[in-house]
Parts: sequence; structure tokens; C-alpha cells
Amino acid sequence: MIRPALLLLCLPALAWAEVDWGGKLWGNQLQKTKTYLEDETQTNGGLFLKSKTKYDDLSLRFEGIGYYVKTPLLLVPEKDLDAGEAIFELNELNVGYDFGDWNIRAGQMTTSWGKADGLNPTDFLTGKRNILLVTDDQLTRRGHLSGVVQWTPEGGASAWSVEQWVVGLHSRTDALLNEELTNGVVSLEAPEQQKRMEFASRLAYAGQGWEFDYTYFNGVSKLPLFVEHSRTLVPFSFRLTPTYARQQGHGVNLVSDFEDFVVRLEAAYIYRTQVFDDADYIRDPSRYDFVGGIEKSFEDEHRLNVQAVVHHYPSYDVAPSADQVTAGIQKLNCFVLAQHLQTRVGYLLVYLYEPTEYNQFKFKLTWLNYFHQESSSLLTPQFDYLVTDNLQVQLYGLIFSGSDNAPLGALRDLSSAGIGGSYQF
Amino acid sequence: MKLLCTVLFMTAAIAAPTKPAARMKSAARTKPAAPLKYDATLVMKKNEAARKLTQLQASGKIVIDGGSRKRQEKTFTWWRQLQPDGVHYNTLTKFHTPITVKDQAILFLEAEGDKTEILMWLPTFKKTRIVESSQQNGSFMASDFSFSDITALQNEDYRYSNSGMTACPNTKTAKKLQCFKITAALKNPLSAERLGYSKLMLWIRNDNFMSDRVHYFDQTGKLFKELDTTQIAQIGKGSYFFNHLHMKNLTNGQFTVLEFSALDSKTPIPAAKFFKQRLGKDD
Repeated sequence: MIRPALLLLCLPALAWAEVDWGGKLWGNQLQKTKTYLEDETQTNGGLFLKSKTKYDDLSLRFEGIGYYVKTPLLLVPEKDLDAGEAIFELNELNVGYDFGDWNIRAGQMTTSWGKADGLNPTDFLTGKRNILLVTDDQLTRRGHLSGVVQWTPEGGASAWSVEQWVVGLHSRTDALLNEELTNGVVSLEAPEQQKRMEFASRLAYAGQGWEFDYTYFNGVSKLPLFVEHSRTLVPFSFRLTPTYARQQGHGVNLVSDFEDFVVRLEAAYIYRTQVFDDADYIRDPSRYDFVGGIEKSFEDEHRLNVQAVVHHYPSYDVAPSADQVTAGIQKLNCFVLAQHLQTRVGYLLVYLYEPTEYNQFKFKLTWLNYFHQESSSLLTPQFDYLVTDNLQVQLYGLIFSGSDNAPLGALRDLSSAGIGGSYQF
Repeated sequence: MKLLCTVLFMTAAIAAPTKPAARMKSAARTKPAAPLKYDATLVMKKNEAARKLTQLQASGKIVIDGGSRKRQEKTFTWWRQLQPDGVHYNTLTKFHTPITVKDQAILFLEAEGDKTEILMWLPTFKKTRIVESSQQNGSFMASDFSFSDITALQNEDYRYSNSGMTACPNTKTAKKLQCFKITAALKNPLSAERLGYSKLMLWIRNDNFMSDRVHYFDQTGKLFKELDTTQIAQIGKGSYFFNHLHMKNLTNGQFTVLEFSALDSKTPIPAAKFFKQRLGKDD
């Protein structure tokens, strides 16, 4: 495993060649829609920095994010978000080397797997910074400490390519927990250590007008499962430790150009290979995920992506328990992983409008809606205005709806209207 | 990239004046508008030869203006390489400014018929996107050039006919150059749908066989775009490249200027630059 300190040794190399720096300074203020202007949902802001440089066949990359987030609604281990926290995270600091058919890269890295839009069940290695209620994917993607070897035959000209990944420190996805879910009696311990190896292999083929890839993953879930750490009776409360269950997965992606539209299909089968000894918080929660649909442009200005979304847990089963606390934790885990609904079926619609006549404006609407069993949805309208080439103002909304028992409905308290700005350089 | 393609297209006719050209030139001096007999297909073959480049690297600038749009300027680096078939090109455009498109890359892999592929690298998402074939008539980076304007004109896709000889609209020399006026109709209706126009009217210079002006007619036969090439650079013996293109949308007054500078046809471009699997890997 590569230690982060060793990666710092690469920094002097940045002086070898011309370094390309860039970044973004941003800030957002979100107000609850239910009690408009009475209570904030979140304040966030920060600096995103990235750089890259190349020296012959050697390349170095850096990407880091420092941010401040204040929200009274979310529960995150070791962070007092109610009072506000400043956090720094390293997304990338890695070195790569190209030689003929081969490319190797090692260090802190981000990945972005999956061909679908918005939801990527085959993006096995990526954890998400969900505590930031923003619409920018770049700000939420987390890195992992890894090494990868890529092989593309015929000096890189082949349609085939193979990758092998080894991850030393995996990334994590923040579970969005609010008071409605935790009933005000839950606090969180520090998450368990991340020093659990992950392995992933990827085989890709790029044909003429179509692409396919298959991925095998042996690692850990990016979303945590909670296990009980301790409890007090007066006043009644209990502490939970987020743990990351071992799992394996198979994923496939297919993209094809059908002249008038592009079809994207992404599917994954994930099964846990770890059983929790104490109290079986969740038993046998393997699952199938599918996201697939079509993308089409209309008259240069409109782009529409309509995808079907299916999550299926074929043998979900919560162990019977007389202990109310354990039952409560089971319920919480079910919500976090949305496993209490054996099958969820819905659609994801992404619409983008970029008027050619008024090229400073952009409107995007994302709508994830589950209609099978407990219906719930997340609607995200987003309006961007480009003040200058660097300065952008954004108005956006996060509108969760549905019943308390549905995964998106349970997050209704997070429904917000936001205003933000960013300066890119 | 679009610009390059357009330029290549316009510069299609090249090389030393041929007999028909010479004949026309002398005839034009006495009767400028007189319809002369020449072989339009032969002229377009000379145009194809004139814009033929083994490889080229250039810096580019695209300026979008006119109508109610806010003026926007985008800079990029452009690489083009002739494929082993000697007909089609691979082209890569990588944007540098403004910051909103920094490091975006568009790869054009030309192929016979409607098999041309266009792939986009989106650095923010760290993903490659296939551009659907029907979108190849769509706007290239919000400009008045379409993706297909950027790819090289393929003579086998068109039926050419002689529309007379006329003074070149864009030459500013004291002695007006003469141009072959040629109508190019698409042979395949499906290609017309993909490219977004039904026919072209080309003004091909009789000195270097590069195009001087192109008119684009939509699928109803109505003129909707006009491309003027005001600067042409000689790259090698008998090879030319447009380094200043002006595309005007005649329906809304919008226009786009495409400029190339720092033309370099000598430094070898590795073939790997155009591999699909490599797209975005430098980022």
C-alpha cells in the first residue's frame, strides 16, 4: 500500500514542467422550503483546486477541496455540522507513467465509472461527499488511495483495454441522516478504519459507434451500515458506529449510437460477502441495480435523457429481534441503503436547455421518481447565469417528496431552495 | 476543428491551374459572367488535392457573435491527421478558454458514408460521450459551424454540376480572381438529413482551387448559411489550409469567426493522439 507521505515526494517534480492550475471558489445558501426564511438547510462554500503537469511520459495530478459546511439537519460522524465545520480532503495526488501499451498510475485517485447519467451503479470505487447539498458532481466525488495498471494492446490502438485496480484506502459515501430518521436519540462514533483492500478489474471494448465494458469488484460498500457501539438509558440514547461491509459485484455498461439517439445501459449485481455476527443487522442484502435509457438532442438547444431505474433486492430479510434498539438500527440501515423496499422501480429524467440566442443562460431539470411500492421523488431544478466567463450565479432547488417510509420521502426536511455563486479560474 | 474542416472543404481546389481553369480565366477577362464549360467534378478533385494534408497542428480561436448572443471567444489546440486510406481524417480539438470549457476535447473519426464518429471528453464528469449521428448537424461548441462542417468534405458524397464562372466574392486583390461556381448536391437523402443541408453552392478559386465562399441550403432548399474564407495559408507544395473563416447564419444574423495560427505540419503527431481509448487520459 502506498502511504500518502510518499506521494508528497512527488511534489517537487511539479517544478520540472509547466504546471496547469485551475479551480473554483464557491458558496451556496439553502433555505428550507417548508419554513421559508425561518430556518436554514445548509450553508456551504469552499475552494476546489486542481493541477496537472507532464514531463515526457510521466504525469502528475493534484486535486483537493477545502470547504465549510453548516447544517442543523444532518448527522455526520465526528463533525458538529450544527455549529459548522471546515474540512479539507484530498481527491487526487498521483503519478502516472505511459510506456507503449501500458499505463500505470498510483496515489490518491478519483474514478468515474458508468455510462448512465445521474446514477451509476457500476461506479464501485467512488464515495460521494453527500453532506454538500450541491449540484456540481466535481465537488462531491471523493478519491481513494490506489494503484492501477492499464493495458491497451497494439500500442494503444486496440479497441480492447484492460485495467486492474488495487485500493489501499477506500472512499466513503456520506449517509444522509436527519433527525426524523434518528429520532433525536442517536449519535455517531468515528467510522471504522478504511484500511480494507479493494480490487477491481475492468475490460472495455470501444467499437464503431458503440462501447461496452465489464467490471468485477471485490471491496467494500461505500455507504455505511450502522452497528451499535453503546447505549445509555437515562436519558435514553445510543451511539452507532458506521461500518463498511465487504461485498463483491459485477457490472456491465453498454452505449450505442442509434443515429437519432444514444442508448445507455448500466447494470450491476452486488452481493455482500460479510455477515455481521452480532444481531444480524441486515441479512443477505444482495441486489440488482439497473439504469438505462435514451439520450437525444433537439434543435441544438434541448437535450433530454430518459432512463428507467430498477433496484431489486431478491432476498431481503431482517432478522427478527425483540430488542427495540436493534430493531431501530435495522430500520435505520434499511433506510440508508433503501433495502426495505424489495423492489424499487422508477425513472430518472434529465433535461438541459441551453438557448443559442441567450448563451449566458442554462436550465437543467433532474427528476428521480420511484413509483413502485412506496413512491417518492427528488426534483432538482437548476438555473445558471454566466455573469462573465469566470463568474456564475446559480439558483437551484432540492425537492424531496413521498411518504415517510420511502427513501427519498424520508429526507423531506432537506427540501430547500438555494442560491449560489462560483468563480472558476 | 469545424473551422478546419470547413477550411479544408473550401480550399478543396488547388495546385497549378489546369487547362480548364486557364481557359476559364482568359475567358473571364473578356466576359466575366459568361458560363464556361468545365468539369465540376474535376475541379472538386483538384480542390480535394489542394486541401489534402498529411497532418497539421494549429492553435485556434473561435469567436461567436451577432444576433442577441453575448460575444464569446474560445481558444483551442487542433490536431489533424490523414488516415491510412488517404481520404479520411482524424481530428482532435482541445479547448483552453474560457474556463467553462477548459480541457474539453472533441474527437472526430471520419469514416465512409454515415459512419463518422464524434466523441466528447467532459473533464468535469471525467467521462467520454458519444455524439449521436443525427446530432452531427448540431452546433459545434455553440457556434454557427456544425460538427459536420468541421469534418472534411467527401467528394464521393456529392454530385457536382457546373454553375458558371464568376469573380470570387472574397478576393481583395486589385485583379479580381475568377471562381468556378459549383453546385454540390448530396447523393444520399440520408446524408442530407445527417448533415443538415440539401446542397451547397461553392465558389472555387481558379488559382489554388480552394473555396472562396460556400452557401448552405437547408432541406427545403432555402439558403441559410454563408461561409467566407478570407485567408488561406500554403502548407506545402500544392497544399493549403484556411486560417480565417467567417460563417454567417443568414436567418438570424449570428456569425462565427474561426481563426487558426501557429500552423505546424512538420512536428510529428503520434497516432495515439486520436485513439478513442486515450481521449481524456492526458487530463
